[in-house]
Amino acid sequence: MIPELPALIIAGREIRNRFFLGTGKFQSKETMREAIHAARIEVVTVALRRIDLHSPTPENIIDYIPDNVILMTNTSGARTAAEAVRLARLGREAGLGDWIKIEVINDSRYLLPDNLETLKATEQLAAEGFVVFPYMYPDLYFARAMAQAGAAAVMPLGSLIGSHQGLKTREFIRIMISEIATPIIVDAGIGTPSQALEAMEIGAAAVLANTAVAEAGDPPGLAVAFSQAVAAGLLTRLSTPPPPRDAASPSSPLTGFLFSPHDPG
Amino acid sequence: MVPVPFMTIQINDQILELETAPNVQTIVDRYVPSSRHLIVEVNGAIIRRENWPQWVLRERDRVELIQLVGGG
Repeated sequence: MIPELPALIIAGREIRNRFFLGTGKFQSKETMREAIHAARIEVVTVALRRIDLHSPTPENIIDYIPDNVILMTNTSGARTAAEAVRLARLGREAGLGDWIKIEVINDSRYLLPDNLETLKATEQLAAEGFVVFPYMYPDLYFARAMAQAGAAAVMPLGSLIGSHQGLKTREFIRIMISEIATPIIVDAGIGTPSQALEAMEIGAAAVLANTAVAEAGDPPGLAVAFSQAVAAGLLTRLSTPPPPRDAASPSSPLTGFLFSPHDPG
Repeated sequence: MVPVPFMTIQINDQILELETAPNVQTIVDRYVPSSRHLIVEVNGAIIRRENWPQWVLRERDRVELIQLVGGG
């Protein structure tokens, strides 16, 4: 019998599905909704953008996300802490709640987060009562500072956003997990469920992915696979698998062989 | 012929000439077909939905009309 897995508890909310889904890049909002529904996604990210005055019909993406799903507004587009803070306040004003993924990025080629500006935004927004999730480059000192500033969880990148390269930063994420009590949620570059499973096996509290699901041939199917993989990774960690060995260790007994060197031929 | 008075305001990244003293609600009705999850800022300050009809715009005000979109 598969045991029930412990929920992830953040800001008083119990989260059963530790696979979080980004809502960008889907072929259609209907496909996005199907993925959320099929995988029973509980946490999604959304973004804020200007209305296009030339074609002003709003996307109203919220209409395609079930009411019981937690919305995490990201501050994508922010290049500084001040811009991230402004976006977070706008998200709260829009009625999206207090969960904020801080994303402060200054380069368009690698989309690497600016840890210093992200820390400043974390300090400001945590002080204003937001539930803050800083997306960051896995640096132990910054992660510790963000945790101490009040981040609800710290979100180190696995590899470049949208790259599907997987857990390139695994050793530094491992260090963060071992040194910081705050939940570590791996975000960015996770392209397959096996990569998400690995993140959970090394002790991540959750995994966030977007591009992999949005660009899949079957987004709802892959969203389900990701959710199952994240659960399997958590169960693996909780089941304490044995460490690797350098030499073989036979799986069958070493006595009672039917064939021995002393038998007549 | 008497020239029609106008005022200049900025909406998002565009400079527009409008009739004098529109309020925020007028701008929203003109430029945003469905304002269900719209957020409005004027000169960097969030204007709450209930105040849109009363908030009168002035010359060179900067208006931001912001929506929610998909994002990672």
